[in-house]
Amino acid sequence: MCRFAAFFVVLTTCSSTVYAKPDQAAKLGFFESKIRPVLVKQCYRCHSVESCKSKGGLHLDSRAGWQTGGDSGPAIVPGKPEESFVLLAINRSGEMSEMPPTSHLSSRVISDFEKWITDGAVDPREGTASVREKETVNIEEGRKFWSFQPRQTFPEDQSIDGFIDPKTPRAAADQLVRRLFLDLIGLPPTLTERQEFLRLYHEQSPDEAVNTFTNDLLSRKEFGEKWARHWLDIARYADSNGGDFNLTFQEAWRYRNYVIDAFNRDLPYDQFLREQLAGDLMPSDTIEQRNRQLIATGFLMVAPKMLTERNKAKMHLDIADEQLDTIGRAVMGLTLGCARCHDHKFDPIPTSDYYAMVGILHSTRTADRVLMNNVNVTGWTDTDLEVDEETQKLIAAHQVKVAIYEKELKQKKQRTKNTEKVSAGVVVDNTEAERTGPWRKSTYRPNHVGDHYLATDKGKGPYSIKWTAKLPKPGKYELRASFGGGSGLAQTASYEVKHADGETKLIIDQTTQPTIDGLWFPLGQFTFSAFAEVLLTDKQSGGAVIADAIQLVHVDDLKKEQPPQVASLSAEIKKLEQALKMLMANSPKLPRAMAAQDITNKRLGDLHIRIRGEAENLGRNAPRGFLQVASYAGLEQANISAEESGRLQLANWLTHPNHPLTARVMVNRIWQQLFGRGIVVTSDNFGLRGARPSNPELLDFLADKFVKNQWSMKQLIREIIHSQTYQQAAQTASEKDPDNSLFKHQNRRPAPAETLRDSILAIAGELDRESRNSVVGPLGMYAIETSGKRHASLSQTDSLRQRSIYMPIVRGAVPPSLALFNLPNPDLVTGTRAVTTVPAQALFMMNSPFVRKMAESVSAQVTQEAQPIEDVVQSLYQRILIREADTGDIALGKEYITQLMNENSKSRLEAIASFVQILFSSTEFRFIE
Amino acid sequence: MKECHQFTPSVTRRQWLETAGCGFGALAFQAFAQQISSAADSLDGLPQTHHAPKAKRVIFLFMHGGVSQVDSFDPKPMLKQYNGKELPFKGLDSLDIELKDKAGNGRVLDTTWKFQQHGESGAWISDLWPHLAKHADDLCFIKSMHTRGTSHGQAVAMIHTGSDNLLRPSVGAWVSYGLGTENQNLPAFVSVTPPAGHGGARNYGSSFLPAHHQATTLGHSGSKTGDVTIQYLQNPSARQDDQQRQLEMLNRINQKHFAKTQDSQVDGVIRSYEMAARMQGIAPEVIDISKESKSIQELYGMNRKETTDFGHRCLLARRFCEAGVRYVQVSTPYVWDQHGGLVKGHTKNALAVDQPISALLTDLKQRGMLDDTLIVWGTEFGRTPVAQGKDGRDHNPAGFTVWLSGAGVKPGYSHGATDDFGYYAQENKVHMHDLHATILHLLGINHKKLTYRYAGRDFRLTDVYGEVVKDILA
Repeated sequence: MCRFAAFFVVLTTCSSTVYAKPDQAAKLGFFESKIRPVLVKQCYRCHSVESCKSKGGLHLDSRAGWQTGGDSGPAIVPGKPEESFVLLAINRSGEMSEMPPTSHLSSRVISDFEKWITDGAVDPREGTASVREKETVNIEEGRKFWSFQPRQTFPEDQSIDGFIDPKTPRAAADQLVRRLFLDLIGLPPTLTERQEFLRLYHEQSPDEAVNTFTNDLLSRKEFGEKWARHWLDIARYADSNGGDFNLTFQEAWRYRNYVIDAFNRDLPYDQFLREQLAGDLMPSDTIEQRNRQLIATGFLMVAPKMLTERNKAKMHLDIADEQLDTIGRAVMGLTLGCARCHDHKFDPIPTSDYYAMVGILHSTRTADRVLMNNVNVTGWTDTDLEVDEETQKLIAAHQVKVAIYEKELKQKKQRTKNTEKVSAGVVVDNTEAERTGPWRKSTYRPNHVGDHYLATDKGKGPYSIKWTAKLPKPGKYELRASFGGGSGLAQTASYEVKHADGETKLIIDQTTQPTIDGLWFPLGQFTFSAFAEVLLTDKQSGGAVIADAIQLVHVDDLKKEQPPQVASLSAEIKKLEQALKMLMANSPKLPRAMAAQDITNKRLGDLHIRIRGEAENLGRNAPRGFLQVASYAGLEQANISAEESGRLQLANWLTHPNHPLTARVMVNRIWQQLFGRGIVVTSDNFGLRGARPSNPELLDFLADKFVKNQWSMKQLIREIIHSQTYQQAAQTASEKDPDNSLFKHQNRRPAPAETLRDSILAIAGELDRESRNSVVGPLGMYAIETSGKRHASLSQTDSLRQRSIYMPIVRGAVPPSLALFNLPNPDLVTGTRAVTTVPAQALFMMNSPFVRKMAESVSAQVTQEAQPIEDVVQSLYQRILIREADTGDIALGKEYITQLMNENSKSRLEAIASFVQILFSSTEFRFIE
Repeated sequence: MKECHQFTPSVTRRQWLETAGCGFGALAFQAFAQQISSAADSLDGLPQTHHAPKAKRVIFLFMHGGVSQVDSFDPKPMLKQYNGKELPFKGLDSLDIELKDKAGNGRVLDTTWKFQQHGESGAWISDLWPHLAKHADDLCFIKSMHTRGTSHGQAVAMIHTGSDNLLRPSVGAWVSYGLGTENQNLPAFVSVTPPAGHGGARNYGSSFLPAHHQATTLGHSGSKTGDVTIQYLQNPSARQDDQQRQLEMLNRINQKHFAKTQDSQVDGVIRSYEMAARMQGIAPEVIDISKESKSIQELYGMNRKETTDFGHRCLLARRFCEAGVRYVQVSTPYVWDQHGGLVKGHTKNALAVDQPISALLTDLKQRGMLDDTLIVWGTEFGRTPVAQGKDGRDHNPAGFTVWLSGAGVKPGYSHGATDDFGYYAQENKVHMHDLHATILHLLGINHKKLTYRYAGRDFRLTDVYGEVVKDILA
């Protein structure tokens, strides 16, 4: 605005004094005849008050419109066509968006504009007050929104049930035990566990049963294996990059296991967050802690990236953008990414806040390595983890050993070279030879003289090459040729040698391995006077003919040439090389992690705002800092020095007990896991466009308690589970409250993908409960090659038996047993999974070898007991649906199994397996009551 | 409801579905499937579109890697004149360093192929495409395409999703979301051998749109013909009558649960089993091309090693279209990227697809389906008129050619032009967003009105861009 005001004054002054009247009239005429019609026809549609449009913030229907300009500043600078964006846009200089978007203006029109601007851009259009008021985000106003308000506090004796006033009686014991197990560990109770629960429930009390089992389940490692998966959804975790270049994340598993471990250790949530955002910058007491914190920053690393983006400045901005957007959604429930190109349309987030925060991540080393020796391809650098002293010693000793070998090898190679130099004789390389035909330069075979050798292409001949060697003295010489050797070459290469006694024709098999130094092949001994001439043609060749160099060694030098040590030297070298190879293969592995670090190059520091989000379109500098609207009492300045990224400060700011969003967002997520619905239903969006909390007091009560309990997630889960509200029976939602937003009953929820798969495995007795480290070891550098080639294991995930959290999550090849049942796309932050009911799921239950096989395993367990069919059916209901079958159930089951055996001539095993598959597929199994 | 759908499904279809979803008991499997399939054909109530659609469905033929326009459809005599000489203007930034001389221009490489005019329209087509040339009067070229992304990853994402880096729903998913399916027993969006690299699943994904809008895929770009099928479609170890009995019992048990709960979620799952059973009845038949006559198979080149793979895929596309699928994508493997070996590479690649594509046009025309089917032939970007090495061309997102054919586009027409060297789109430029807008337009959808609310804002395929290319509309 200042700029405009100052400028306007200058212009008025000019127009009244400098321009003489006649001149002015001519200029006005020029504007009216040449400029205005074009503006009206070409520009007003998107840049005028009348069209209600000001694309890019720019109005072109008044003088004031272009003087103020749009997002990029004044659009026309009188007298300076080269600084006038309008001109840059219409002549499609590439520096601006090209305008008009759908047609080109003729070069005459463009030169008219240039002239007009050069002549002072006289423009009589007074323009209504179309000068755009620069909209600014009103932070103070924004803070009044509920989610930015400080939390309310409540008296000690408040409780969840006090806020909810649950109306539905407690669920039946069987429903409760199944719900408890599936919610806490993602596996159904075994027959004995169920019995024990029922015993406590009936003999002691329901509370006693729930309490006992809650404590038990929370302490099992299966708890972390269930709950970590929810965080991995939010962390868009995967074992490969996806994006444009689907590279394998060989070390990502460490982060996955870190998350599992964090849940199992009940790592306070604030610390959990700090470690993930800035673990590398936090102090540590032990090696183990140091490594854990490094691994935690995998949170920033496992995103999908466009690694072949050739505009690397844009790539780094895109990566930082993704990280910030992820942090925004995951931790604060805000869509910060929306403020990249313009102030957030709905939430009080100015673009400057976005760049203040994205600058922090932009200062972080995520992907800064050149891959495949190609500057267009970017990779990341794994970080060495610290190891204990013993391993350190081992590694150091190994390095010393390697160094010794390498030194010796180097010395021996040097000696060989020196020895060879003596005997080099006269060498003529192909570059000094005369040649005809389209010889192709090549370096494919490493044994050649000089930079390259030459090769023929089939059908492109004829080819010829002639080497001429000037000899130091006349006499008898051994003539040698270099041609690489090996398969695919000509077996009848035709050489002609001109010597003192005439001409000799030779047919040489170039597939022969050269005998001398792995380079030279002796063609024979000839007497030469002053010159030796050797001609090679492709006349009789079969495969490609190779022409590299010739060598002439005087016979007198031949004896000198091979001092015995050369032969033995090369043998020694070979031996050493082998030993070194062995040594490297057996080196003690230094564990490495996919971890973030601060960057040390010039990217470290504040960022300029990018106008419209375009990498090259710089606005003002945005000093690194935090989101203004979410600042709170007790917040100090960001205080980020020039030498650091500021991630630690960001982490501390986010996890401050008074941060209005962090605790609210997380308690809502945990609540959602236990009810299938959050108190705020849009669990990743606490902004204006998100839903409002259905019970704001409860949300604040839980958040406050969470913070006061040292951000203990297990404590919060325990508290919710102990409530009457959680233990209510599930019901179908009433019309009065179709979303059950008031939680007057429990929800019937579709079992998540992992729970379905793991339950089926567990019931079949096929679940492998061991933890896993890397599960993408067999994959190479590419998880999926760009050609589509993929490792066979990726299409055989149905045969894996580990818990679902340890399944390989390769972007683009998520195991169908999980993807079909809404395991989220690992490219996106997903706090609330989609709920879909599609035929593909049904096809999987009906037809997949996995479900069939598991059904057979269950059948094998129950058919061994020579029970009546009725008892088998009863037992299946108890194992699979975790309840007693009623008489109707038993009748149906019996009817089915008997009919299959009698009418479809199935064995007892097959018939029962078929029935098991029905129970696995049943709606009852697929929902949590 | 998060979804702010622009269309309301027709009442007739809903009513029909209610009556159709009556269970398994009454009818034999196959007959049931057939009945529903024919019922689906007679459904007149397509969801309401923004305007009258010209195309009922789209076949998108995707040439992965970057087909050279100056060797295919965009002849430039200047290339001959300047062959081996420096390009007289600046080439694109951020292309491979080795290609550039000091001035950054690069040296012009003439085409190896002969161009000729074909048909009454006189369309220029090189002898790289002899079969397609016979269809010159059916094609509508856009020779002034430009897009975002100098690398494959960006440009492939751009052509499939309208975004070069952010995760967005694919074109087919938007179409499925906008129009729904024509046949309740098959998905609306099918992608045959989709690209596995350069974004992989996101190129047929639904992103934030509801998951059922993503493509049902058949194989992936590395698949052999025999593996090109829908996953878990059939149970190899179960006999049909066994499975029918099993589904009947499942239904009885599920109905008991529904009776107890009266929960619409439970009902939804029950219906999904019914639909799966119907799909299982129909889809294998659609996929089974063995019943096609020998002459049709030969038309598609299935009798020749070079053309059999792509011929099979094109034939599948026609069969899916007949069965009511809205949007079928058929992709080549990632083979067109000739930085070197241009002559050999493009020859081989064109040989593999030229006859099958031509056959698809012939076949659709014969069946009268070209009138309401839009074919889009495209590639993520073109190639430079300057050489890379001696026999190669680099990526060129600044100017390239796509063609359309069939429903609603002018046949035998050419729109836009590149400069004299075929480098930059110059006249009547068409951005990828514009192409997307045009495809939606032909389907009766206003690209500015097809929106979806996600994370607090309304998204659309064309973001804030896109203009329908009116000139090519018939």
